[in-house]
Amino acid sequence: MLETSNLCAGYLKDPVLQDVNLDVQPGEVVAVVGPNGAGKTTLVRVLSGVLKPAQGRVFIQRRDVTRLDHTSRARFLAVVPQAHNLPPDFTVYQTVLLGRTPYLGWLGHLSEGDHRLVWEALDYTHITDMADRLVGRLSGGEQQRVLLARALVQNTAVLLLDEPTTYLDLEHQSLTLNLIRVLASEMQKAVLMVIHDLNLAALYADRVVLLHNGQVVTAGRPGEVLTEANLAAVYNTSVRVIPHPDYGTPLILPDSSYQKGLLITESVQAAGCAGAGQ
Amino acid sequence: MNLTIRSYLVNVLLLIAALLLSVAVGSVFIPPGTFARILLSSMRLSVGTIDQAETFTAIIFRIRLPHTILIMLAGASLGASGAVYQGVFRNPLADPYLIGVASGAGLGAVLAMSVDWPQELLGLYTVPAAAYLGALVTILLVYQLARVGKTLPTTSMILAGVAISSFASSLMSFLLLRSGERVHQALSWIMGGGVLAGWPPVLAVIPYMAVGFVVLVLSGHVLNVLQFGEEQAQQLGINSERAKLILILAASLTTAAAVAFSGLIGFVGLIVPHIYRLFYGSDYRRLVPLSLLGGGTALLLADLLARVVLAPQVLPVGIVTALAGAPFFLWVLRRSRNETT
Repeated sequence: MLETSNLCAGYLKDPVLQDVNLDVQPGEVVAVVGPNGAGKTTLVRVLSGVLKPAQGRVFIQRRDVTRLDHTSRARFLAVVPQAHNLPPDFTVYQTVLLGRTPYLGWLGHLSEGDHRLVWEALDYTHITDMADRLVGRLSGGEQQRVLLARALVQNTAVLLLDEPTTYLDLEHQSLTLNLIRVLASEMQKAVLMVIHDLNLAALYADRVVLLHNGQVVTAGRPGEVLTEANLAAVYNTSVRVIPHPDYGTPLILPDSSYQKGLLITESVQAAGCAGAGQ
Repeated sequence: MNLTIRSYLVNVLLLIAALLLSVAVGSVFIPPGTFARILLSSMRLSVGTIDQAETFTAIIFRIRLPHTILIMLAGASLGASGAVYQGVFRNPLADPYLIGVASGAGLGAVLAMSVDWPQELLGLYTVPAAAYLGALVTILLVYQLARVGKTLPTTSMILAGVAISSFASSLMSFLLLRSGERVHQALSWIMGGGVLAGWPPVLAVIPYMAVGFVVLVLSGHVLNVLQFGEEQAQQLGINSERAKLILILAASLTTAAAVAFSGLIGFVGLIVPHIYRLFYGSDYRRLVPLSLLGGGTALLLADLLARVVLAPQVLPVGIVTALAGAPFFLWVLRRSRNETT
């Protein structure tokens, strides 16, 4: 349903994404992982139309959305951004209602149907009882669900999530990702999420795309992509990968030079001092 | 919905009260009974029973009514455009005066006035257009100077605004003095005492304000979306660059029309939207129309004070708004600083 072909994008003199090909089918959750600077944020910006691709296409339901204007594209793809810097004195209801924007004109005239969709989305994301509360007074997990509800009322085939678990504790991480899985299968949405946490990606995604230096290193089922060799090459540090005791999905264990008794303070300090002294 | 209707009702009533007060009160006292009779008979268009009140009628219709309407329109412009500037720049301290737009408009207006037009009326209608041009040039300059990447930090915006503003004000003073105006008059214009008398200025600003008001009042939804930042606005289907341009053009149009015939009046565009935000929340669909009504009311009351305090001498109304506004500005500055840290 979502498909990119040879996508290249970046900023002046700084090409970030090179020849990115990926696809997401309806009902599927695909996770994009990779180290800092791999191009994950740029990918979100290009797919959502904030940044024009230098080359390549983005297809949703066989339509080339890079050629659409903001309004039409927002009917195909909804973004759940990271929940920070939200206008604090908007109510939850008001915020979610803005997801109808691509279907409204400049005046924002709302119909009964729009309000019904908002209540449905609030119900789906379990925030109905917060409808009248101010967004600024909510916790990070609650704000995340408000943004998810806003994306739902956009009524799109594709959902794009930008680090949906970054500021969440363990409970809200699994609640949020669970909800995303439910939405994918019940609404048959194609879900692409950019995510830092490899273990969460392994637990919740059907497929994982490993991004490095703006290129897709490998893509496939979590067990095929999240291997010790792949991760060591991309993250530049050795990791252990064992099967999850309950589910058999890959469980990534980071390396610890401290536990190995290999603290290399002297060389770190020497380098730090030399750097600082200049 | 109830809150919206109630808020409009209350604020329309307040505006009507301020209008009546502004027409009734002045250096010549008009007894309330006579005042009511004049108003009623003018509505029925029968001027039979009021011979002895003829001077009062003249005072009301030739002097006070146009003055009152001009002040009300100027206040409404500043209130509405202040709310919109704050929304577009996502900055609670944006105000047509503080960001320099008012001074730029003033400079344009003074330039147009200092030209010898072949026809007086032609000159009168050119003034708001020149003010508009001045306002646009200023806001473009301030935006370019203050912008850091795609954001507009409060401090750099105010600094750029103040710098451009004092530059424009100096040029304005120079032009006013050179054209033979007395220092007193030039100063009074810059302090917001430039309110022109009679009906022609009212008629000259109405077309500009009508266009501006319609655009501003109808932009509440777009402003709401813009509060989530440019990126999210685009992801929600708004062409944010174009939307911001339209809003800035409209807000500057109304500001320029206000400044053209009443001089530089500060702080109305800052205080009024803030007060309404405290009372009614920050939904721009409601905030812009309320700031429009409230701006009219606030400036009428400020003008009333300006006329009464040292009567029969009339203070420039800008002095009153600055006296009330500057402390308020400092309070908002502190509050917004506490919020960000």
